[in-house]
Amino acid sequence: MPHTNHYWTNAVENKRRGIGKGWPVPRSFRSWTFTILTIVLCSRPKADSMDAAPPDEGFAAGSSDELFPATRWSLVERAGCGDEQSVRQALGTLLQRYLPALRIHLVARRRIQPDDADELLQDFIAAKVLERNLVALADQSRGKFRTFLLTALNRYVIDKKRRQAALKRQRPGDGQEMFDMPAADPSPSRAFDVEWARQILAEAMRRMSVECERSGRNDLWGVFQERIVLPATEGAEPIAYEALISRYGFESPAQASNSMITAKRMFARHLRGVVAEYLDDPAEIDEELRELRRIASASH
Amino acid sequence: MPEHSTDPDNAPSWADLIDIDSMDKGPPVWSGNDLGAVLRHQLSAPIQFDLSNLDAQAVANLQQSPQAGRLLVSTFGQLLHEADPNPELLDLTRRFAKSAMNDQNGPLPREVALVLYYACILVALIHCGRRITRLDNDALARGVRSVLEWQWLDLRTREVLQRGLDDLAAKPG
Repeated sequence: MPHTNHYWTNAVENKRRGIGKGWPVPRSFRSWTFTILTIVLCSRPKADSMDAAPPDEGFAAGSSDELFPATRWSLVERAGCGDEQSVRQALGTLLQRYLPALRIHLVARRRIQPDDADELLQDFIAAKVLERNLVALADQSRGKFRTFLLTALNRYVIDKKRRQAALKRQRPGDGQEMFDMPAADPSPSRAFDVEWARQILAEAMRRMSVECERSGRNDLWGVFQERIVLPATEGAEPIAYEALISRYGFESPAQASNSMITAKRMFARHLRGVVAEYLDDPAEIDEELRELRRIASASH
Repeated sequence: MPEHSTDPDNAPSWADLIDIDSMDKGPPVWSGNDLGAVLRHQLSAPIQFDLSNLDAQAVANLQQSPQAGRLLVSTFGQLLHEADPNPELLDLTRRFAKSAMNDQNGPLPREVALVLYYACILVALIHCGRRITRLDNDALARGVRSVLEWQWLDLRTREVLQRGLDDLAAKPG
């Protein structure tokens, strides 16, 4: 989408020069997410760069590096420092992972209107994540990255609110207040945690589907979806056994059973892989998975 | 006899997807409707396919026998429902079923494995006059009666089990 790249590259340049109101605010959250990711991927020192990758490459397509990282580098570390392309790619992945949860936090916990929440997040990403390289300040020894990010967002929102209030005092009657003062408690809200857990699952499933397709094992993906995922996430009836063997050509119940077991193990491997992008220690990964499960269980 | 694999309370939730290890510890979740379909599928499956995984040497020995050509293209259903079963194959199938009963991640739901297990023993007794189990008749009868309560059994297998139960009743011990 070269015209989009050009548009957003100019938007970045205008922002730097302080031209215009800032970032355009799209109507829908999906297009807004696309906007943020485009900003991240297209932000360059020079304007009119036409060779930046569209924002959905590297995420949905799934490079082999993304699927099977060569190192156990923390995604957070890569997003905080390194060469420009690595930083941009890691940052894009991080934002794709966290943005839905951050938005849910603003809307559900802080009771901010969705459009206002979108704009706040957009400003936060631009001002703190991109311009101030916020991610580079994250320190794993001081706690979870999502708590760090949420704390930074909360502080940004509080600060913005105070500046708005100050402006209003200087110019009374000039526009309405954007949102209520958020609570002082910086800890992740339940809504944030639940959305975060869902993002982890979604990413693990995405990676599994890509692996199944690439290895010609769409039968594993189908069995996993129809017997396990859809019943778990949507309350759907599991596909009947006879339909299962007819659709996937299993010669015996042993084959069908083995396929389900293989599929579950494949998913488990990808799930750990997603978490391992943030945590290196296997014990910490286990603990993170247990916590995510507690979050998910509590959401019922 | 708990049908834990058919318990709707064991249906997965999205929280379980995160603790995928716990899902992996349990058997695949088969509904009551599925069990009949699984049994029919197992009965139509070639014997050689499943038994080779259990005891490759035993299958190889059978392949040397004069009846090898007939034996190893048989299905489990043919083995159990026809008049002239091979007792070695029945014993192999009994061992296969017993192994599956005790393996949570095994090839068969436990209920289907139980049906296969008792059916092999009874067919060996009735048609071959051979006892391939150390269970006494009372214990056998108890197990077969509980299996016969399952509504999803196919007609021919039910007939085999009922005839075996009647035979046991005539020979207490």
